[in-house]
Amino acid sequence: MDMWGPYCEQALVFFNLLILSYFVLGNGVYTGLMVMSLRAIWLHSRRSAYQGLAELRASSLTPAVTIIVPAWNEERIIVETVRSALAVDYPRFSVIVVDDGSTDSTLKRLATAFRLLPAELEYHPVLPTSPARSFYSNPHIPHLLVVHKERGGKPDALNTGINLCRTPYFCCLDADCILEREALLRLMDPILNSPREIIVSGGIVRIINGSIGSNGQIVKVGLPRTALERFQVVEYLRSFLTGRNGWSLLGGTVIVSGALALFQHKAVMEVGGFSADTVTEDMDLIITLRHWAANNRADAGFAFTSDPVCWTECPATFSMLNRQRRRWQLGLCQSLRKHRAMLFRRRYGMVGLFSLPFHLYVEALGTIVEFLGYLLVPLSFFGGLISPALLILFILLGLAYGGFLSVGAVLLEEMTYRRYPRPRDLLVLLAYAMLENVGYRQLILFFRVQGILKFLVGSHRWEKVIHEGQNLSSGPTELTPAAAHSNQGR
Amino acid sequence: MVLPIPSLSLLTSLASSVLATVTLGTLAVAAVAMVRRWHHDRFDRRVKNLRLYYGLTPSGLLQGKYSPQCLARLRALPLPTLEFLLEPLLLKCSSAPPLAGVLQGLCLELGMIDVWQRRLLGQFTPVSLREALTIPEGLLHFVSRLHFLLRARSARNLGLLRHQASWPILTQALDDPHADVRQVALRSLAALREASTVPALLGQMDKAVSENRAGLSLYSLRAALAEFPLSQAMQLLPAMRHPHPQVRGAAAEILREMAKREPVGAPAFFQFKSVFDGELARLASDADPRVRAIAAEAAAHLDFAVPSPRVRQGFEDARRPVRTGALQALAEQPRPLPPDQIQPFLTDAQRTVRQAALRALLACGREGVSRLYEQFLKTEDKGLRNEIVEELEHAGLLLSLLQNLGDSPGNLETKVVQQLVSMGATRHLQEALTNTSGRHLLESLLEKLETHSPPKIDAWLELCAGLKAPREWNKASHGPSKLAA
Repeated sequence: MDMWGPYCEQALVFFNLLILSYFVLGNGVYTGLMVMSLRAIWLHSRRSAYQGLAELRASSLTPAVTIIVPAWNEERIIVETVRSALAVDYPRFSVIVVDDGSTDSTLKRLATAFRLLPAELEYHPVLPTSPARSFYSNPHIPHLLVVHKERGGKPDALNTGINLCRTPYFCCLDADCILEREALLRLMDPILNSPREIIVSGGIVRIINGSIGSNGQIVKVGLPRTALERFQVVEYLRSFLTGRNGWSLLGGTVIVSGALALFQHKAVMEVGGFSADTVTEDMDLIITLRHWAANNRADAGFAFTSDPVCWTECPATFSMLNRQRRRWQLGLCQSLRKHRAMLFRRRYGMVGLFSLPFHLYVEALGTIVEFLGYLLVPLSFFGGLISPALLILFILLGLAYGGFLSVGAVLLEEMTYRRYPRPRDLLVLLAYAMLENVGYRQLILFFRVQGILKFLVGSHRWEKVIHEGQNLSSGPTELTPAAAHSNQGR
Repeated sequence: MVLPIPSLSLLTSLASSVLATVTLGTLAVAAVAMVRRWHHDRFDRRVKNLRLYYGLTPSGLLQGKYSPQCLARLRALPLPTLEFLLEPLLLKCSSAPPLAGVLQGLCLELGMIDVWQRRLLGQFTPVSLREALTIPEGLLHFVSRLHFLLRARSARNLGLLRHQASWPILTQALDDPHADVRQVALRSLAALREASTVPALLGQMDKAVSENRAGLSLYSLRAALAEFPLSQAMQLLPAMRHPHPQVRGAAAEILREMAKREPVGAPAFFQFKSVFDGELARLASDADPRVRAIAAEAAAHLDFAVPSPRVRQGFEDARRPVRTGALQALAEQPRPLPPDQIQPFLTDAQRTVRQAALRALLACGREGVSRLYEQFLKTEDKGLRNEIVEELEHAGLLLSLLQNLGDSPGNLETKVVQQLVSMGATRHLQEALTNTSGRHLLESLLEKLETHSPPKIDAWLELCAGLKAPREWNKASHGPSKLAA
């Protein structure tokens, strides 16, 4: 102890208390969210027994939807994504694929697969975007339009789609995602059946790795082979089934995955569309809409349901995972900085008073606290501030609690949707949930710290995650009668 | 400032107990997940066997396989199990209507209709714990806060069975304390289409706009009322005179949907035409443009023979959605309409109006298409020409354009093709000719070369004949390939 000055000692004690508060607050809130989600998801799955999807499908009053697919260098999966979007089970819809100046054969593949022809369209952008170079369509698939534009980034590509959208709602779908057939109906259900005006409806993203797809649909759900991908499966379950669902129940949703979200066209136009200020344009738009709704339309609602599903490919290598997580962390910090005026403001309700402060403290600053904790707690131990027993207990407690939350998410999945049909898959998921906090969590923390460093140096680079390409065999484009004869939504 | 150092022993003991609790909790949660999976798989097998044993399969029921002995055995089953066995069959009723009749009879004999009706009134049939535990969801019977799930399912079952006599109870359920029950009862009422329920539904619509967030969504109510036949349209009159524009608009929209579904020339059209003429005339001059737009559409659907003054009023409206709505409605009508009144809108400043006018002209048949060709030849506007070609292509008329090519030297089709060739805008025509169905046409056109068609067209046809496969479109199209660019 003699080697430590009194100030250093006090600083270490202070830091240990900070870690403790972070641990208690973070895990406490997540436990609360899990308990609430457990109830809500269980109820939702029971309610689905009398959900009126058939009526929505049959009604001529169901509003038309445009599915906007922004794509940049997605030659590996774009055809399957568009195939899944065209196969969606919805009465009136159209698909706009915005090729954001791809340098690979994304456009060529689309042209070949869907036999596209150049089309002459007048493009009068309301939201400013980089110029559209050309348009392509196929008279036999009248509800598909492909736009080739100059590179402007994902928000710019989305805004191009929004400019071309002629329907009251649009759905954003990432170019590396496979949409489930009923996803759009399920997203629309809370919008139409709520007495409130719902301006955003979000669904969940599941990991496609290890599953088998055919003609734009998942035909066999399975777990991926590598540990890195399996950990991500557990992480996605926890994030979507527990986290987002819980925040939605509290009315504090600030993140709706841009991979699958339905937006009211009018509201998004009002706020100026997607912004390129951050690298997580989806989160930024949701907070912007929250801000706008609080200032202009207090009754506007945000819905999140856990059964509209899109399947996405998760990074299979460390470098790609690093890119993805760095970007997410950078985007989180950028969004919090951009909307800092909403923090601790009663006017913004749960978002201003609880959700954004929590994201700031636990998700953004907590990353630094946790990272430093891995350095300073052992230092405290060597400095004699923490007994060996307490150190071991503390580490074990951290691991056990993380495991508890992940196992809880697997239970949620098992109690409700049971998407992984083999009993062996359940056992594997439980094992990975228990092990997630040993190694994988620390790896993700390391990537997130890099994201924070990028934020501190003012980086604004959108890092592209290159996927391996999954087992999604595609046959020739089959035109369904609906696709061939309808002119849906356009 | 000196921060307090918590007692180490206190922290250690606290952390130990929390760790032990968390570890046990994690293991318990994992065990629950595994047990649930095992239980679920076992239960699935059991239910499958039970259904086969009792002949509760769609095919079995349609063949009338349930005997008095079978009925007696079913009656002996605990209520939750019986419901669990019947409900999946009820869900198949909408796709197999004869099944609904058979199931209705079976449910009546088993007393299930009575159980569901009483449940909707809040009277639950007592179930013992043992009976409840026969199915995974059996405990719902003991948690009064979750009874809404059972009430909603009861409302759904009555709707699926089309049990007409249940309408008063379902109407009462529109004021159920739980939103889910209200929603499902509404859908069931829409399925029953009982005329006496319309006033109650309109009352709910009034509530939806006046008591925000309190009741059913306006969309659900519109969708439900739109399911009723046109013969019930008279009951919409008070809603058409409602002070709230959303209700007026919704009533006009419901009328439009009712008219859309009715066969053209059905007696209901004549029966209500005179009544709605005045109402729609009033709504066509409504202060709210959305109401005017829907009124114009409704009028177009009701006046199926000749566009009435209401529709023409919609055409002349200053607001784009009203003009678009009126023209779109005309395009959807099966009867030919005078194209004279539509043609001027081809030069409307708004693209959506032009597009709706194009479609309305196409719906006019041969005469409308001729007007479209005339406009195509007459206009100097490149954008409009493209829009016309696009619509012709979507309507599948490019082949017919080519089929009539060269029949007489001065015919409209020849002129249009010539114009397209002159413009170099032949991509869509080429695509039509290189499709499987177009190849024969190309062959016959090549046989007629230099007989009727102008030289430019001949040269173009020869170029088309040089195409090998439609996939080479980018190589073969005129000018530099946009894709390559």
